[in-house]
Amino acid sequence: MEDDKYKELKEAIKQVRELNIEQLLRLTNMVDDIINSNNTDEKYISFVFDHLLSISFVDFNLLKEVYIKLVNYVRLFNKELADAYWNFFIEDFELDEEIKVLDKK
Amino acid sequence: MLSEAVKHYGEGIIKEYSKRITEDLGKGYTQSRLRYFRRFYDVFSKCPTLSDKLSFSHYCEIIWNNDFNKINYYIQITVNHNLSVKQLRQRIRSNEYERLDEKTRNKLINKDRKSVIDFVKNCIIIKNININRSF
Repeated sequence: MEDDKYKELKEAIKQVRELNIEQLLRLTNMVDDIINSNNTDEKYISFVFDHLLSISFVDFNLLKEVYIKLVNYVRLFNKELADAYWNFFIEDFELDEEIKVLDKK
Repeated sequence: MLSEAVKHYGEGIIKEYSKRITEDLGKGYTQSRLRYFRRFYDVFSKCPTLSDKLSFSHYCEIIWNNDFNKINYYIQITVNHNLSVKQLRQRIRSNEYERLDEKTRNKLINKDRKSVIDFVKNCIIIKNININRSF
């Protein structure tokens, strides 16, 4: 019974993951555009951060890579915004101590 | 599915599922993430006022309230002012909803027409401005 429920959940997650992979690709392009055009519009950057945080059940390492790329770019001109969104990421994904230490380096 | 599993096996099942999914599908399936989804389903099956203008991360900020009027208030201001998650969190932390007076809160709940005065704590300032203008 428990195993059936788990299998059902795993299948549902796989379906959501397929949909979210496309969304992550779109957001990856948006992050690249922001960086390449030196966009510093806080509203737009927050919009992209918010949607990256909303993505669930995708390759976590890929998501983290894109997210960190944007955080590092934003840190160049708006440290407060970069720090706030980095903290949201840590909270949302319960990142372990190792990553928190890496962030401080 | 998660809600049903929790009803059958208790909260501990989330921890177990998180562990198993992480083993099967990789990182990113934390307990908190699964709890967000469960709570999201529980809240919006009872309070179906979702807006597609909010991202899931916006909803994660507000779904832990048990007061549906409060949830609806934060949905409404996020849509109206196009708030980011950061801005929404600041408003929640400043207890914006709690600081509204009862009359304004009731207007919001009943969707009555609101005026600027409803959202200004000290109305004397506005009244004085009006008096000065009339001179």
